[in-house]
Amino acid sequence: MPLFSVSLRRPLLIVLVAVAALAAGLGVACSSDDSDEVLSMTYMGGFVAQANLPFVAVYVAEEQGFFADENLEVDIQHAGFTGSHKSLLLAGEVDITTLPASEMLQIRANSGAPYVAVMLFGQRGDFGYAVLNSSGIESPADFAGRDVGFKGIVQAEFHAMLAAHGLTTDDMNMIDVGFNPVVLVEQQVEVYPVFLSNEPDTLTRNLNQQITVFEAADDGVPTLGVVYLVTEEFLEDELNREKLERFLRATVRAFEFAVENPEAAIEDTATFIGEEREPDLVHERFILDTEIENAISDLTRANGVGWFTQQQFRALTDVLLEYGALENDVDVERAIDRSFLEAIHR
Amino acid sequence: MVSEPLRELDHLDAQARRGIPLAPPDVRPMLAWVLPPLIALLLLAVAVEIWVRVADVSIWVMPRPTTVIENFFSDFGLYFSEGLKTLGVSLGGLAIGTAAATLLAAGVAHSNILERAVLPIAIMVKVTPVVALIPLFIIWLGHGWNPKIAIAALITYFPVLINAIAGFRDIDPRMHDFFRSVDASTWEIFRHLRLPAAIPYLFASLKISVTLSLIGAVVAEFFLSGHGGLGAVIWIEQNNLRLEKVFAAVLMLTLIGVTLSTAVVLAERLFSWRLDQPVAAA
Repeated sequence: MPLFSVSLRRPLLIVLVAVAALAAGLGVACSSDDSDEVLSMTYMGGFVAQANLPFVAVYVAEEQGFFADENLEVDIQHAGFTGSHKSLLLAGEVDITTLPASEMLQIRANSGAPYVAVMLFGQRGDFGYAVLNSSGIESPADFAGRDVGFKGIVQAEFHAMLAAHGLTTDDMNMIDVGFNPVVLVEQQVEVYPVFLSNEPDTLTRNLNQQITVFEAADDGVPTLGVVYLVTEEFLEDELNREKLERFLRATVRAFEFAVENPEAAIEDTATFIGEEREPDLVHERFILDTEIENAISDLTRANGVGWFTQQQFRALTDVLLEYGALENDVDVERAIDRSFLEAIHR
Repeated sequence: MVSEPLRELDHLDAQARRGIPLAPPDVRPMLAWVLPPLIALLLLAVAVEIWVRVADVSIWVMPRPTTVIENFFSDFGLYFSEGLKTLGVSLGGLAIGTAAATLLAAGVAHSNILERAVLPIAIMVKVTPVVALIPLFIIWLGHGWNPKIAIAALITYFPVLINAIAGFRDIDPRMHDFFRSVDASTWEIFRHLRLPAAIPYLFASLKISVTLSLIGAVVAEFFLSGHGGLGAVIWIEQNNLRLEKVFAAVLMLTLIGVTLSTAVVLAERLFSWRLDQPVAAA
């Protein structure tokens, strides 16, 4: 005799199926953690779309699915020439953005903006000082008595570089040249400050000049490049910290991908540049190669890409303070947070 | 159109010219002239202050007007000295742009062929974004004040040119026939007929150009900030995210703009009166 009558079998079956489904659901729920929840955040690159490494890492992470692997949706925006990323981050409209480390420290010191650097790309600064090979200038010591250009403000690192050669800006004729390297070609100045990642290419490839570029870092001046930064308020929220860790994990992976596959990284970058203009791929490759070279050091080889130390930021702060770029000292410990990279590279 | 307070001032001038003793100065016309814009500015500042506080707007997006005013007075020396630099560039550009445009307009007013040749070029220069020209101006004109003054001149010349052409041509045909009938030379016709006719047009364009010249100076100072000026202050402090300083510099710029505009209005009255005399004689 069957244990249950036919009339009872169907309801029992339904109950069993429901229990099984519930158990399965609970099991899934119990086995899942926060990482299964899709999170979203807004990133804003601090310039137009181009192959700067901090931008490329985001483009690659998006195009190669690294953000998707982290269950992260990233709204990728660019500040263009406006500089609005600096304010939008502080207003909470943007979650993460990019700035040169020196500028981040300067704004934090001079206006009290609660910026926090969470990943460092350039292990050296972005600035160099170009001279024509025909100028006879063989080192910064030869800048004395020359016409030397500057772009609005004489950088603290330039003062420090001169000091390393026993010079000051009083030993030369400083000329505000704006943002056009043609003044070097036209010999209106004999030294022209360049953004290392793009202007040397413009001078050599587009303007057909033979140049030498001097960097303050070569004279032992502590300089740093671009960082990813967030705000102190952003880091106070646990969900934001989760988002940030996913973002950095994906971009660290993308950074490593770009080092191994620069061609593919440029293709991914071209997708984003193409939304704004026709990309010059040779130029973009120059930018990427320059920035990868500056982003790899003994420190990153030992600890992982994006790594930084408090000593690096302290040394940079001291140079900025010494040459008047900072009106107040910076509490470096509060201005940086390496905990995310430590978790990622563990 | 002349405002009521200005008409009142005209009346006082006329009395003085006729030798009629003036009554004790009545400050009401001046107050009527000065108070409305001051009250409007004050109301605007109060509205922004309330908005910033009530909506809890981030100080990184919009500073409080009270903070701006406090900074303006505490750093007044800085804004004043930098303002003088901007004023110098602005006036230099205005003078060159106005002189060049007036001379060109005088030629164009006499020649349709010259007009057809010159106007397309003038329009081409006008529609070219000034910002795109600044790096070139630096190369062409050097790295000092010259490129800044050139930018200010470039941005001011067009309203003057168009208005001056219209003014030089806006003459009474009967008067023109009369001048011809007495064998007046081209110069005499220009001096006694066309120039007086153009004066109201020139001043109308100057009221526009004077503020444009300030904009040109500030834009040029963004690119050549090494020599200072309010444009340099705005650029540097924008980079430092010290928005109260940015707006304090804008406040000084506003004061300069208002002063220059007022000076143009007063100059218009003076020139109009003087140029009336020879026309009456003619």
